[in-house]
Amino acid sequence: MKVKLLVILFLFISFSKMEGQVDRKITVSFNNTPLKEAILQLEEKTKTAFFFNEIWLNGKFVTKSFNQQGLRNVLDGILENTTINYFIKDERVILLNNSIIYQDLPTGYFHVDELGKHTTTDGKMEEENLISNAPIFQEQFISSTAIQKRSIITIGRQNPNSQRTTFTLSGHITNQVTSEPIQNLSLSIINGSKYTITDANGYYSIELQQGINRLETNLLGFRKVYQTVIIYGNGTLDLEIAENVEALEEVIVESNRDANVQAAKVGSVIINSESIKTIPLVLGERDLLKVATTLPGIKTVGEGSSGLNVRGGRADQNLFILDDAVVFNPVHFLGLFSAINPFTTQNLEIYKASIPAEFGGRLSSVFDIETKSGNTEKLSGEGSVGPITANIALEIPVVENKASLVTGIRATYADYILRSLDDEQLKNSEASFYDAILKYSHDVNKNNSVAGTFYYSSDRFSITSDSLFGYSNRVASVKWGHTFSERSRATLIFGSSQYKYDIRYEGDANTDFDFGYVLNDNQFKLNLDNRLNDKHKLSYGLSSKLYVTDPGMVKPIGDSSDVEEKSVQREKGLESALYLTDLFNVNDKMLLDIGLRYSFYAALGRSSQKVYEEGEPKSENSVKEVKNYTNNEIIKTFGGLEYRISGRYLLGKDFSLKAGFNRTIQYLHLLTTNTTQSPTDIWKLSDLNIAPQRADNFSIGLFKNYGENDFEISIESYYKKMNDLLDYKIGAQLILNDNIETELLQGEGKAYGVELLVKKTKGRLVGYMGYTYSRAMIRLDGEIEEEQVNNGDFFSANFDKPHDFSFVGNYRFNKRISASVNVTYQTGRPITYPIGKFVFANEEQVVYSDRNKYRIPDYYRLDLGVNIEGNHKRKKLAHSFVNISVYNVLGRNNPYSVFFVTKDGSIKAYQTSIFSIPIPTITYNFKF
Amino acid sequence: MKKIKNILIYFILLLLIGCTEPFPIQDIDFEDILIVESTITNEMKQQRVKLSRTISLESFGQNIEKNAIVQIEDSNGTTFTFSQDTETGDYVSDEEFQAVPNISYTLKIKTGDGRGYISKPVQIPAAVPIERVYAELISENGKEGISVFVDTDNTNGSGQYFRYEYEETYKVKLPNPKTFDWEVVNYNNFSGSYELELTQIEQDFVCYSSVGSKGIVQTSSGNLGENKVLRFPVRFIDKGDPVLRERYSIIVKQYIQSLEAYTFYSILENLGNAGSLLSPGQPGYVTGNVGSETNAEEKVLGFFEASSVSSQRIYFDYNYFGLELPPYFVECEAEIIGGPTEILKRKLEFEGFQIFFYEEIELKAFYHIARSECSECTSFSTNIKPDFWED
Repeated sequence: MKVKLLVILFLFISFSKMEGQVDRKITVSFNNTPLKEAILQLEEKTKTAFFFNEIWLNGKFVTKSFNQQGLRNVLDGILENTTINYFIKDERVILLNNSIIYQDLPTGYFHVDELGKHTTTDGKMEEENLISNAPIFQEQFISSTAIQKRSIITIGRQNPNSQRTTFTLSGHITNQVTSEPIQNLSLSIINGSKYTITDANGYYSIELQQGINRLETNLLGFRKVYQTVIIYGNGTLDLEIAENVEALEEVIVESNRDANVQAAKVGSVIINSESIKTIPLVLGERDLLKVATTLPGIKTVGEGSSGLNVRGGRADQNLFILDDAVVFNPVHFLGLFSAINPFTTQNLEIYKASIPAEFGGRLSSVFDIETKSGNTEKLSGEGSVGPITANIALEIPVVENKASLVTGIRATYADYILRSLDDEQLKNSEASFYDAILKYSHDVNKNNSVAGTFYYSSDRFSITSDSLFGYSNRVASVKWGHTFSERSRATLIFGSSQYKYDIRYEGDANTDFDFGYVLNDNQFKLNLDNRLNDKHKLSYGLSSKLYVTDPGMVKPIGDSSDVEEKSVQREKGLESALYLTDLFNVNDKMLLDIGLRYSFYAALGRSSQKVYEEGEPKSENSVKEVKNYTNNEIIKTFGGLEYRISGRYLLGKDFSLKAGFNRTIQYLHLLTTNTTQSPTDIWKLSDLNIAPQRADNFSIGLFKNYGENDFEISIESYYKKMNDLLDYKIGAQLILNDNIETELLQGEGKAYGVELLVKKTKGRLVGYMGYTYSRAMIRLDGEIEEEQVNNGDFFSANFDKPHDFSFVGNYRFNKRISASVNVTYQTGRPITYPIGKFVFANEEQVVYSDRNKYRIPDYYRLDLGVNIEGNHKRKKLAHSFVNISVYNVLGRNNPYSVFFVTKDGSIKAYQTSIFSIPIPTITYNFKF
Repeated sequence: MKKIKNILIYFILLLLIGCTEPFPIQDIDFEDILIVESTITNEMKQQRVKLSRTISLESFGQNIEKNAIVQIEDSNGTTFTFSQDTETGDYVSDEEFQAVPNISYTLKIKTGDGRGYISKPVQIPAAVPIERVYAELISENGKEGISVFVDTDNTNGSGQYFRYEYEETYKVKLPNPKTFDWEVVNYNNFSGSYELELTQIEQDFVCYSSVGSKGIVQTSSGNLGENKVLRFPVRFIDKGDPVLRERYSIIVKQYIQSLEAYTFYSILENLGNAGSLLSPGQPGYVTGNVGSETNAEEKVLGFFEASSVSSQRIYFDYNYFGLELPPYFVECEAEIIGGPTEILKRKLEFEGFQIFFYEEIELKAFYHIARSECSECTSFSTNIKPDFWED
């Protein structure tokens, strides 16, 4: 209270008169005098009023003597070993705990060079020292759990002649322990009207009104810091923030807390890897992508499918980016686990609707996965042991405070277990996967930083004894960041990705073969950020990527194999883009994010392309002409302007309305003969016969936070219209097909939905509840009957699940034990079911209904988990965390697929379900 | 520790197998759809059209479409009329005719309920003769057996799509050929006593069984470097298959298909085969080339095709490949039962046993009996030697 009072007083103090009694020389001596008493003596001697909070002084003693010293020297002396600062104005001495009051800021202070340095104003005191040497403060924030409260800081000097009412506060936010910059941390005014996020290097900048501003920081996994600042002018504020070791209390999944209300983008969410550890998951694998599917608008067809469907988009319309390079198939084991190492991942940012203009090439969403910047001071690590995999991640300092290495390896021991089995068939099966990541980051100097990432994931398994199936992702990227000035920065990125798969079939006969598929994607991107003024923040750049795919090659294995070597011609395409975004702060209430992207695609030779007669079904019989193109000759070009526009309007405190319009173009298509995405699908480039997919996405949402932001409620709605979606004729042969266009259909799609999300972010019970009503429809209505499906009417997409409810909650019993629950309910997905059978060619066959006319039974599942933290001694060698969970507690046999096979001349029906019984798991995690 | 390992194993199994289980097929809906299957060929014969209707998933058999009026019209204006064969249910042309190149044929159907259906006009593709049919001992998927291959040289031709049917005929030597017909006489209901009247008959030692192919077997020569069909496997016979016990013969028929016909058949074939268990292929309603005249949205499933056919027959048996004698189709353990007893009566009357030998020892009657599959051709085959058969 007293502090508050002081602040108010402070505001009304006139600054015109400086220094009075305080110049008087004092002679005084203290011998184990309580500090409070010492202060009172000084008050007496100097006839100066002291303002302070007694609590700060309790238990402190001073032994010192001063002879003819100025008040400042005396105060410096007696407060030497405390956390208390003082401030002298107009014969008043104000004692402050933990805060610095900057009266003066040296010129050049705002220069970005100074950012990130802890030496601030004339060496008075550094935030860093304050925190690390301040026992009182430490006690305070530990007892107040995840909240760090700090005393007032004054920024700038009041200039009575200034006409300005807003000033810029900028600074650098770092991790208290590791000194790594913290990115994506939101810094906002508590009344909710201003908001910013730290960039990749931990820098932020925010416009604040003159006077008192109460700021709060928010990032999952870090303590909240409340900081009151008094703004008199432009200035800097660097903060160090402690990690939240009491993770049980943290919010489980959170979009940038205030992004919810404040940001201009609609439909974006951040999942912090650390924060999801209490969510019960199948086989104990902490899985960012699986957690994503519990959020509204992100679905999978089922537990065993590798694709995600975002807001009615197809599985190929999501751009997965790992440290700026594309990952084509970020899953293991046919989609049961994601291939993203949770320990090395900082966070996953998902853009469901407003896709930043810097990203392109996919219609529906961007999953931007950011690897941690390593600890530059000391070796640290994290690991887990579960029933299926073991995982270890290390952060290794290379150059102190400058460079570090992050590495993580995860592998399964399923193979080992299989081999030790007695069953012959299983003994010869294979099921293994691993993924490894290595990231090096180096702050070369004040203005330059480089980072490089290498990632590899590999899967191998055999479903039958004579076939072996493997696939892998290889991703590499290098990023160079350069700072020109406080206002402008540049980033140059090179990324290279490869996805390939391979099927080896080795029976005993002459049909042994090796089938392979390779896709390469190499790109460069130059991005510039420029803060023009308080109103406009520009971001612009250009990018270009080259796709090269070998869509299929088969070769015989061994001399006795009769399989003929064959390969489908290589495809090449160049996709380039120019983009510009303006984050336009129209006024206090309105923020616009206006992005434009012009993308341009050229299908390149060498290639031979067929021209088909118009109005006839594309088949070998309707080929009009075969055109041949030489290497790098342009076959066909496509392009277009993509709008990425969104805006936020504040309707009140913690209450906003947002809307967005997004246009996207996709030049690369995933061909799948299956109803769900599988790793053997083929990515196909647009060419003479295949047009790019295009989508227009309209979204609108209301965002409201209640209480001390205990509750966040949002309701969002979208309508998406898609053109030239790629589909295929029934029974299409996509593998090794030279005339693949004859099997393909292009049609339109539409998707719409309403998403409701309620989050509780504080208290013993934290979690969220989401409900989505959505539809996703496709129409394949070619001019000729052969190119129509369901008579050319709209029909449900495979992943159309209108009702989707999920609840994820964590209840903390005490600091060490918490329980989690997961509830999921979804409408069953559409299937094509037989509606009769008949005999043809002496064999029973079924006749199928119109496509996706029926649905499998509704899906529901309950998972429970208990999380036990090791004790919280700070000096322990390693912190441990045990997660005991039961997946599918109810043992619900959720059918995943239903299919029909003609066997021995008659029809047999099969049903596949995955995890149809409760699956208990114990996972041990440790951190050091 | 062991327990932990067991738990782990259980997890892995769960993962690997993923719980695919058969379930009894259930009707959730039913649509009554006309099915058309017809291939007219360049052979001069009575051509056939098969018409049937879908049946519900839970029922069995076939629902033959009766009382339809079936006609084929050619582009010269000739109409061939068809009548239903009461035995097979197929519609058979009243006169023999053959499909001729450069003439298009259209199938017209009027069903009993008065609805009309018409096919797209089809033409016969150029004929390509089978070059060679041959059998080799191979091992496939770890199983040893005889594979029947086809070679066709189509280097100069245009036909690229081939569909194969075969009919196999094999000789069966009965292990215990029946020698008597029997009749139960003077049966006493009360005591259960009876007399058995035996009539000596002429023994069948040899039968000839014929079995047609099931399912769709197709290939195309377009995928290979040369326009050839080489070593295309049509039929695989396990080395222990009883059909190889005596002389075996197979006739392989090669139908040259149009692209449309080939596509239709291959889709049908693909739909009947599951792809990956976890990601099944997209099934759907397959449109053929027959449609309703009155209601464009009515589903009709079927294909009317004209195809040139050629065939070749080969003969072999297990000896050709140095295989061991395969077992007989069933176990033929002869039983010897004395006197007319209750057991004997039951075996003969209800279990289909036949008497292949009778003897009296010290005035007591002993009947040597065997299952009918071991002693009587007509129970599973025929004793009539086919016309083509060459020993």
